[in-house]
Amino acid sequence: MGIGDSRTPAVHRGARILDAVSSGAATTPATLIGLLGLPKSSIADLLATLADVGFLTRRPDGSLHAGPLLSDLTDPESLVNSVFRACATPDLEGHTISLVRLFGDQIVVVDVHLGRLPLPLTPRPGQRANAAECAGAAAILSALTVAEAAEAVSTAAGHLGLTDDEVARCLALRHRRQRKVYESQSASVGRQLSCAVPNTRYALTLHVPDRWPEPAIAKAARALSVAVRDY
Amino acid sequence: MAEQARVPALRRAAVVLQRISESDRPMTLSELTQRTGLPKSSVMGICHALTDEGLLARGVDGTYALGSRLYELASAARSHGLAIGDIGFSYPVDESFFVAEIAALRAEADRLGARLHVHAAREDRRTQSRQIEDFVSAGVDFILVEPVATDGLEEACAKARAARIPVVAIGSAVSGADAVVATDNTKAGFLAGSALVATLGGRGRVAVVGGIPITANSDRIAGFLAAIAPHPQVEVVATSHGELDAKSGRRAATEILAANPAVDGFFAANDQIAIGISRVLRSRRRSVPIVGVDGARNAVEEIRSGGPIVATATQDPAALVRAAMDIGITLHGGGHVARPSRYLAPTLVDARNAAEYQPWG
Repeated sequence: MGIGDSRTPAVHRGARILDAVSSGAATTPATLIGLLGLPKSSIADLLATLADVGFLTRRPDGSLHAGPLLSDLTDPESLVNSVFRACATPDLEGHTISLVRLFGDQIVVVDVHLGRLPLPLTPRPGQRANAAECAGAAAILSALTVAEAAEAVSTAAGHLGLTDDEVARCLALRHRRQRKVYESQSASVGRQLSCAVPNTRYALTLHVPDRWPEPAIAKAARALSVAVRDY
Repeated sequence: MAEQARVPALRRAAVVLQRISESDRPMTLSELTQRTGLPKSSVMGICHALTDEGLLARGVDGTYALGSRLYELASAARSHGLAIGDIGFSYPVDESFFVAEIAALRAEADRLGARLHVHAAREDRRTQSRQIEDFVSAGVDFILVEPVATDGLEEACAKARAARIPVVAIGSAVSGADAVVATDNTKAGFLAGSALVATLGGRGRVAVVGGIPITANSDRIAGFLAAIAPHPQVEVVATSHGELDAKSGRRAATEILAANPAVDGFFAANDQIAIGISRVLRSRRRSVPIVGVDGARNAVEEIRSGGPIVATATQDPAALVRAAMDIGITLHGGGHVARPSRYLAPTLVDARNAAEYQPWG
């Protein structure tokens, strides 16, 4: 549906502005006018509202930036920056790390700190993957009680159209005995190490590059478990 | 309220997204209508538009969850940097180089809309250590330190690290800091040393006046010694230490000349020491070349007027500050810094280019 067909064109225009600002394509009202082809007064109204609700911020030099509400919506417990900062250690240096949460029988990537080495699948924010292929699912489910795990999976079962069997298969990823670090390996997403973030329903996942030496993986696993403990 | 009325659909869209974010499960249209208090038709239109834009995901049962594009936008917002509210800066003393750094820091803080908290450590490492701890207690977003000493700040830096507050050293490395931005001081010393060798024609007795116990000064001396090493007829006959001001340079020069009256040249670890040495030589009507490091205005003015300071290897306080701020902002945002030790190249200012050089300060 184009903007012209929409009953709420302002939402589409707001989304385009957020895209332009967050990508760096336009960081001033003047460049937005040129980019979106909207009248100056419309841009001014949209920017004022986006800033007012927290989708945008305007810095003292006048430049526009994506606002704090975007981060608050996807990371209401403000974990991303804390856990990524805790990963700033030599053993995790240069590697791809993601914060993930469970959504039915899927893992949703909340955010990613991208490393330098190529991966079979480069995780992206918002990306979903089959829980069975992601170490984060086992980490999250194993940190919960049986009842909590069942509730965590079933809340999105209707949304995803999961059958009882699919819910059960996901719940089977839960380990009875908790571990510090969980591991997965799949052809599509590669090898992962993951630790549950204590007292949350999130996990921190290290995406292991191909041909990475085992001693380095062991060190990184320890660093990952320290990061979720000390973040 | 006039502002709020401008684009009500966007405001309502924000409310819808917030209600879904707060929920621990996908929400139906009815639930959203109830929890937002908005008309159902309005909620429906907004949900359709948000779904079209990828900001919401509609499930097979008609419920709504946050969409992948929202996560992408949020990630971009984080990568653009968290808002920086407060920055702490501890520096040794109100010497011109640090004053220039503070001016550059104020400009950067203003650009970010951040508050800058500046404290002089009066060349005392305990004071500097306490200032870092005070910054940690105050919950600043990151700490910049122009160190009074390389060692002795480890405990304070550890407290900052425990509080997830990055510490970036400017000017010289600090044990325990997360990163350092400094001039390539070894090269600076080498440039200054090469200039003195050239001025002396490859032979002479030279004196070395170091500075406070930081790596920057030891690196400069190492660079100077490397520059004179291929010239066996350039001999170091005296070594002394100054601090950060001209007064300490005067004291060092007086002591050196008392023990070695026939010194042919001086290397000073910074330009203020060089200025102090110059004053002693001028008062004695001695024409002995001095080389230093900093590129300070008063040293460059001497070079332009014919000495005794004949060369200085430059530092750029504004560039150091900008690089340190970039690192601090990145670390504050949870990012990694590919090069936690960053060294900026110095250049040599002497009689040939002093007229064009724009000194800081």
